[in-house]
Amino acid sequence: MSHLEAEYSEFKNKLLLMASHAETMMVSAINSVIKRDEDLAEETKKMDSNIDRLEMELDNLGVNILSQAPLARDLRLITSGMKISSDLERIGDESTTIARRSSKLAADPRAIIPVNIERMGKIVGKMLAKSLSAFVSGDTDSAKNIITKDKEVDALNKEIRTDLILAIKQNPNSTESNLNIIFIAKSLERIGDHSKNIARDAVFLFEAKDIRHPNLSK
Amino acid sequence: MSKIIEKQALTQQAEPSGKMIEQIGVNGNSIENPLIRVSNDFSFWYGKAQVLFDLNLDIPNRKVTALIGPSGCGKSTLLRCFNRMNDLIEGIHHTGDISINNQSIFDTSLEIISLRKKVGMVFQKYNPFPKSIYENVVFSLRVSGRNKKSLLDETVERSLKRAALWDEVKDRLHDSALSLSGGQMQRLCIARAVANDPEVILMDEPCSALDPIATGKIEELIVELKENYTIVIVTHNMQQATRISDRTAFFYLGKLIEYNDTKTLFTNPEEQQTEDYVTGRFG
Repeated sequence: MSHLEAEYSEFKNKLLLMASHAETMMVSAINSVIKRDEDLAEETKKMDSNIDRLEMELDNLGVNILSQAPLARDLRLITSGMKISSDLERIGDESTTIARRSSKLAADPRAIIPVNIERMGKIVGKMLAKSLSAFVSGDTDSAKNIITKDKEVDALNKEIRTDLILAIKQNPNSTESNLNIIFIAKSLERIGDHSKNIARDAVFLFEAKDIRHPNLSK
Repeated sequence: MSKIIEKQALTQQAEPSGKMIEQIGVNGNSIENPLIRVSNDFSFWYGKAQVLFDLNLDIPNRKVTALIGPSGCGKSTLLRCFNRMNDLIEGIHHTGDISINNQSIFDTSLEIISLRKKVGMVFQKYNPFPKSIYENVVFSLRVSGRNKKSLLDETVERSLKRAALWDEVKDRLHDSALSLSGGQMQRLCIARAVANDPEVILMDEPCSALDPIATGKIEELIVELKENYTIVIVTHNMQQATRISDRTAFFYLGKLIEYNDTKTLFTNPEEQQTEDYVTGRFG
């Protein structure tokens, strides 16, 4: 393996490791909410530093490779890889937010977790797993399907927010716990957005097509 | 270990496929109103050794076209065909045709001197004559008997300005050209080519002997020159091709593998061989 190929391989491996951490963290965060598991929530929060460290290492490695002026697929791998790393770091942050809110919910026995949160968590978890899989395997059809799934997540987020605002109005004592759930839904919705970004970057990597803003395409 | 890592193993098996390459790109060998047309499966031999095979490509007017490929792929041979420099080599022959402005350069009625006035050339190693800066620029005018001082003065100023060298040498035009730096000598050679007011300027790795600063100046100059001239450049420097050329042709073993607009060829090549070459995986 040449020196340059070794660097590409290191870049890919670090990105996959970061993706693995982000996926694990997101699943742990939502599980801690559903199972009201305070220990799992605490454990989840601790995972974020690994993702942050990998983001910095990937940026450093990516800049180093870019200074060697890669072309064609190599260039697309580094540019899309650095963007994906940024999305994964944000997924880590959103998972931390979910875990933090989860700790508060777990401490409140009166809090009721709506079933839609679990449903939303499952959809977003699949979106993230499929987007990462598309990045790894080049299954761009699957990547494009993820983009449409995001609308479903947005709708669920809206539904949860509307229901809980009504619940707060009806029972002001539930304000704190319901606000925590609203923020969890919002974080899940953001993770859906980041998964969508990763799917788009996978399409760019494998098809060299920019599908971010179809209305602006020539 | 997570699912993601497990998936990596699958990818490594699947990755070498050309699947992602298949769908893309328009490999446009033909363009509208080309200045240079290589046609009828142009092929070229040195004696019995065939070095170019069945080429057909159009080179656009007033653009920079880069010819790239590993050593021995025939790109310099093709470049030297455009002004019939290869005619100086014994035993060469060709089939097919090359035309400039719809006139075949192999037409027996075409004078080779007029072809070379129309198609100037700049070489890898700067090669000024051991004469003054001034005399280098006007050399071809003097050879053709044009010695009127006002014409020579005007040509020197215009050519040196076009070669972005005037400001640096205007006060020492009668100093030896050999006193210039490498980058300046190469720009003087470009000025010498420009003095004939050619339609085409051929450049055979014009920056390979220059440092990055001199290279930067020549590259800037090439981009400026395309306003008035059609430039065909052979380069081994992929990044240089991406910086200055509008279209790029990739050759391998005497064959044209891919010809496309430069951005497409370097970011999303259609052929696996092109991808492998531009990413440094062979060549």
